[in-house]
Amino acid sequence: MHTQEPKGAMWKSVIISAVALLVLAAMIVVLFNLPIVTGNVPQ
Amino acid sequence: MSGAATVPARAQSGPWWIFRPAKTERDMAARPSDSLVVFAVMWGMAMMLSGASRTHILRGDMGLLLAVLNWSVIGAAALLVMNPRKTRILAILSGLMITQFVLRMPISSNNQNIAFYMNLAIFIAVCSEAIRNWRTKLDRDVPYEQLRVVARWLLAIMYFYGMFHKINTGFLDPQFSCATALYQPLTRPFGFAESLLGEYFAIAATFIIEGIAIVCLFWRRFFWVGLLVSLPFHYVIPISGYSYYMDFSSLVFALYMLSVPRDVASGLYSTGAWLVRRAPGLRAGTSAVIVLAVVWALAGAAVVGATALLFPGRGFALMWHSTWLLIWTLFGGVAMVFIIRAALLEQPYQVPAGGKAQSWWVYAIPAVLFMSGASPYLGLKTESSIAMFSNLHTEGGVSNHLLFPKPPYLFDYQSKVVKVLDTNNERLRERAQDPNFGLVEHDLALRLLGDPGMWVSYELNGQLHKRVTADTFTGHRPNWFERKVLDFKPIDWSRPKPCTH
Repeated sequence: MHTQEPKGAMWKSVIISAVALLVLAAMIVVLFNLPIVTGNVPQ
Repeated sequence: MSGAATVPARAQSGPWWIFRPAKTERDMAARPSDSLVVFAVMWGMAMMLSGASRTHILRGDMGLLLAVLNWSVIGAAALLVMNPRKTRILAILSGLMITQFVLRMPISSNNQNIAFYMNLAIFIAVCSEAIRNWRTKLDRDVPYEQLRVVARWLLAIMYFYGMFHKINTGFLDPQFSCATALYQPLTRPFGFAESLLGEYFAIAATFIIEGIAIVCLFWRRFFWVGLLVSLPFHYVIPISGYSYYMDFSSLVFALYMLSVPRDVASGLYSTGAWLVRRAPGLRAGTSAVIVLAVVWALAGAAVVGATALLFPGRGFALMWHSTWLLIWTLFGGVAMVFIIRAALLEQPYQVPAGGKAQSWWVYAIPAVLFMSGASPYLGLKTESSIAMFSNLHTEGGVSNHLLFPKPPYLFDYQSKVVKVLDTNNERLRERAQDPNFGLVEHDLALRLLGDPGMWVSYELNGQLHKRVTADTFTGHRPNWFERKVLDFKPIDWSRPKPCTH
């Protein structure tokens, strides 16, 4: 069992946070691009 | 589950542990082949998405046998996700996928073709190991090590052609590039859709991302950079709504679970096992994930259904695609976060390579995919050659590829291009209105031979052929093998070439 903060963990947290933010942004963007909204038939 | 996962104390303090990966949470008792369990879950998901994309087959439009096979694929995929340790279900699923693929050949979908190569590898690897250990328990480490090699090479070849085919005048022109076609819907909500700089960025980014991905597949120390660059790329592409890309993206995610170092996939396994132990709602493991997916799908379908009321006249296909897009956005996103997290858990990565040489068939399967990708330049097929959405033209002895103005044909299937003048096929007649529209003679032969009532008037090499039917067709009649293997895109002579499949 380790409780000590591992060295260099901060940059990993930043990366994971950025990826999670991308997912949140994608959730918004997808609503604009739903074929039911745009009416665009997929290629 | 093997062994007990070591859980850091801070992990119990709330959901923020997701953002604070620590190597200490890795289950050191996990076996390398536990990574196969992770792959099995993701492969099951990918095959489910692939099956769901074939709505016309599920409806029975292509016959009862294919409908039953496709529903069986979805059922077997769900069973596999719920029982990922049962390698035999993985083999059954791959067997079902291979069977339905062979029956439907030729198939133009590139992701279904890549999935076919992987399913073939899974089937051979698991079955040969099962036969070898007929009386004892199947050793999952052996197929896992074989499949790792196949998956890495399939990804590498896919990225190689993903870049190589795109070195053409059409893709590099922002007005016509397929990169623009994907860039615009993704940036429209932010107001950047018409930015020329953004379009050039999208074109350049395609080469840069796929280049980094291919290098990092083989540069072990920086494998995580490849993941960090390519997973968001594959995650975001379906969200454009331009095409049904979810099955392709989930297939790539699954292949990455075999390509990454063994410790990464088993690290993800450790996190999954820990979550199952800690979260009351996930006690049922991956079965709980299936339940969550169904609940989310129903919620998504309700949202899409309600939206459809605002846009009357939208067809079922649009509703179906929209619902799966919502499912992908959540589940693909969660998968991406956890895969990247598992990769970061292992940083800095300094474990030496541990793979050994494998049987010849392990290398033969990617080698066939490599030849398949080269086929547009060799005068063979233009579909299923990883040239999707690449703006590439190779037919009629000319190409828009910057390295091959004249493709080095070894076969003449693409040499004969017909111009359709008239036909009783309504869809074809509509397309033939476009003066830039053409068909490879092989493609015309397939259409005529597949429809005895159809006639076409066309021009080939300056010679007029009037009201030709299957009976009066004088060109080369493809044999069974040619019909199964060779598949051609309709030709568009306009320059720069617009974005088509």
